[in-house]
Amino acid sequence: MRVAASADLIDDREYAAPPELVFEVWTRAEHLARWFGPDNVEVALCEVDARPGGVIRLQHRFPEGPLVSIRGVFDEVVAPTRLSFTFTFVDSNDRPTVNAMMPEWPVGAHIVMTVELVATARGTRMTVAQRVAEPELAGSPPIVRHRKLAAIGWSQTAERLVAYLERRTPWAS
Amino acid sequence: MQADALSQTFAALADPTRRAILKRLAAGPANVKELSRPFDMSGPAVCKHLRVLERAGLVRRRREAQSRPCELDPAPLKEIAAWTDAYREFWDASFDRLGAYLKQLQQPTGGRHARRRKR
Repeated sequence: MRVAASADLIDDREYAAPPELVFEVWTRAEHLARWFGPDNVEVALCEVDARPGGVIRLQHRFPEGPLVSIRGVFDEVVAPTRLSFTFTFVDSNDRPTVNAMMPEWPVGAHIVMTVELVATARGTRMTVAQRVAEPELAGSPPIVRHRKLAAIGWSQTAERLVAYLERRTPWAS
Repeated sequence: MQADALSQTFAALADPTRRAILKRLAAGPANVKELSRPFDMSGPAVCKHLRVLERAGLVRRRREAQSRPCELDPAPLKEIAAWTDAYREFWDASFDRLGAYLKQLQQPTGGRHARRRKR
């Protein structure tokens, strides 16, 4: 893995598509709006100016009502292999605000997203990682938990372990 | 669950031996002697791990029997799973959708974006 050691790995998977195409769907608004975000959200806004210093803005309206907006700036745009941008959750005036869907996430924390694309025989291997830019926030409990989560591969393990434990423990409620 | 309790659960799970102990306890209660056997560890070393698991609320020790068997309490694990759901749903859903979208773009009869890409 070539991403910085201090970053949390979000995902590492292979797609049957050339890196040029994967890069394009990350860097053009009309594409990004089609796939980026949780299920059942309405993409209220998607603006992408993919060049170093360019701005990315996204607004997701959740079915439960809240609107979650991010504003970010591209740091690295190296087609078709590497992309990074730094974003924060903002209100309608671009001021840092609490993310209604992740209320414990520290307000104003800047998240550095890094996407790396490597050509493979099948298509593209994509590695996505994130880290928090502020060293003083990197130690806050929700962020430390995210890091630990990534370190033990929890996203894959949690569900399996819980399912296993529930099946095997008659005293579990 | 309090943030501190959640952190304690994470700390308890960050060790592969403790995760193996939990897995063993998922098969049924066991005492320290039974738990130390597969791990090639001394009783005191296992007890140390058990204390961490107990503090995190993942393991209970029965008082009644002389051997004081340990049993699993999966409740904190369930809370962690609930806590991680929003995060996991966001990324897993996005990257699954990205895969489907890439496939669609590459089909000759794909969406308008696919046609627009042809030169």
